[in-house]
Amino acid sequence: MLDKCVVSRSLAILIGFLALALTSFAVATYFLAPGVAENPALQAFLARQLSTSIAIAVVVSAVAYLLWTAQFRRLQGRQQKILNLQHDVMAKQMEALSSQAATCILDPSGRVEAASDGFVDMLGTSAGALLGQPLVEAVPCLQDSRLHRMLSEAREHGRFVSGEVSGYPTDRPGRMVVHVTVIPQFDREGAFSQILLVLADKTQEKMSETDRFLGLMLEELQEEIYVYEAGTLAIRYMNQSARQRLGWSPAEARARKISDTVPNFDMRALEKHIGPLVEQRQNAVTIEVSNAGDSVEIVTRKMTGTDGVDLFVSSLRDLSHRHEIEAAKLQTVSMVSHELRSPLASIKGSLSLLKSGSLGEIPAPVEKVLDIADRNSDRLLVIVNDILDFEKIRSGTVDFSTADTGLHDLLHEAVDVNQPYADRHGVTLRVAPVPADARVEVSQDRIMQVLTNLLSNAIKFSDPGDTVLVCAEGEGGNWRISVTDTGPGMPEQAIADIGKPFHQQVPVDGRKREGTGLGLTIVKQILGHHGTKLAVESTVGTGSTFSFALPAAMPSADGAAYDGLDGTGDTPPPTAIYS
Amino acid sequence: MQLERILHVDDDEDIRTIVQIALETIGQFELRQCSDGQSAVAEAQDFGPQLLLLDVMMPEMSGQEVRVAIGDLPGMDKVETVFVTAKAEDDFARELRAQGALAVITKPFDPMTLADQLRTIWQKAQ
Repeated sequence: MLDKCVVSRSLAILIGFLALALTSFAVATYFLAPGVAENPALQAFLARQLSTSIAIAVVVSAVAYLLWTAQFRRLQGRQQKILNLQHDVMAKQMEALSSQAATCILDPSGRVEAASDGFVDMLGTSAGALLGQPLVEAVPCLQDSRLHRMLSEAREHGRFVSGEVSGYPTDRPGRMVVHVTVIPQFDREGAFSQILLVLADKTQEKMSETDRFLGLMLEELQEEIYVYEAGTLAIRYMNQSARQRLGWSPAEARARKISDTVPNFDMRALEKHIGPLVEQRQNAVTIEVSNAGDSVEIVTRKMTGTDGVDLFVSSLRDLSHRHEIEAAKLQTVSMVSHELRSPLASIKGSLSLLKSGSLGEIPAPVEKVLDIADRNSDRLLVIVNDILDFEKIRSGTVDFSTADTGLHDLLHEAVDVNQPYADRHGVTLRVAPVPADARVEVSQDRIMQVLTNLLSNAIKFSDPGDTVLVCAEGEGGNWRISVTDTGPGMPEQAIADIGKPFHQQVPVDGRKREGTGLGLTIVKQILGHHGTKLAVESTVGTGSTFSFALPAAMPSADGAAYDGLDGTGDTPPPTAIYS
Repeated sequence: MQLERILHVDDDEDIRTIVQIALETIGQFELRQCSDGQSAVAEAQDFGPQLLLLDVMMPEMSGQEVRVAIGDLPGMDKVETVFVTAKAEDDFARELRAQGALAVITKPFDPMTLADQLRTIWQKAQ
């Protein structure tokens, strides 16, 4: 631009000089040339030439001057515009950096030159941690490949780029969504000099979108969902499934109470259902309700609404189909169990007859092999029985009706049943003195199963020569039954894992014992049906005590008499006889 | 009255062999065995059992059906029944007892003590 100005100015001066030289030549010729004065015709010609030259010189000079001035003014205007633009950008940068807006300036290599307070606050960092550092490395939540691409595009093509990036800020939970505008800056020579980055936090906006999506999902759920106020039972929300069943519009649903959802609504049943939530004993409560042959499961949770009102959220699930599946599954398990038990009966029966010697004397090496076969058929039977028991209890087909039962006989019978197993392991079973009139209100068969599982575990983990002790002690209105062994014991973590289905402890002594890992799960299930829990005390290297409390039947546990020490019974174990 | 004659019905030949040893050789009972309900009904009057030892799940006729069919025969109304089953559910055992069975023995049973068990059950019922 400036070069053009110099050329046009030089051209104007050259033309001016030419005009002046032409005029001087005309003047000189007019006044100095010999004979001009004597020749009027020549004089008149020269005078005309002179005046023409002067006129041309004046016009050319004037045009040159005008040209030069116009060019100069235009260039001056452009320069002013550039200056104004630069001033504006600087002003905006200054404003951006000093305000709460989240902005920062990067140098051409992507390092932070300056950052506004808003920028620092939004990203949960500090100015000290940012300045001089590559932005993408200094701010973890901006480590998004989309930002890399935007910066490259702005740098290479010199244009504004904007888009969304997301990441996880270090100072708060959850994902952050940020809208980024990248503005490249250039110097007077047109070279890339800086990047201005403007950020806007879109996390809340995105959250709202997520909420809307979740709301839609809730609306489309097959399960019926009811949200109602804890105090007034006024319905706040019912999803589509719930509204369809009752034939209500959303507005109609909001005008009603949860008690309007069923004819003859049982308010007492509701109060009983939500009692543990109101008393904050449980986070969620589940109830199964049967109505006209249909079975539904209702799960209710207590929540607080955005307006601070306590709400109940109930979900209803149709269980009919699930019950059908469970019944079919139980039938299958039962069939498989039957199919396994029948051949097992033949195997065990044959082995038992052989071992008894009633079919002829058995040589010692053969007896040893028979023992192995017999032991493993027992093992298989335990597995079959455990799986069957677990499935039966889980599906609720086991009868848990209780009866007044003598504790003394119960404990001794349990010991008798397990005596052969104890004998095989060389372990002694002992029952501590039990008051003769101690009675408990239990499901006898099931508690016998609990004792059998605890005793067989205690025997399994004992060494030959050890003693397993069964005790009954009064504890308030209950009797606490305990089974104590002097086995390897368990570390704390192992105690926490007790009762997980199919979980087998890895003993501290490293010796693996046979079992399905269902024994203690079954124990816990049965005790749960009796309203009690399995307690475990164990010390590594000393042994373990498994105990549970049972409700005393009349007379109470207090002041009961003891019948003295009992030895272990050596009665042959009865097979399962339901007579 | 002592228990002497037992009619055993089971479709499983192996089980029949084991029960034969358990009740004849060890228990010293007079035993007759059948592999299905029809032949048991046909032989019942001729043998005159005091006790029926019946497997429950059999093809053609179930143990319960055999018990009813034999009970309906002339002079057979006093015959007692003990069922043997691999189905170990409490409810099922209770149902069988409710139908008039003296006892229900689950498989696998101990052949060495089977005779004693049956004698005990019989004596209790007398």
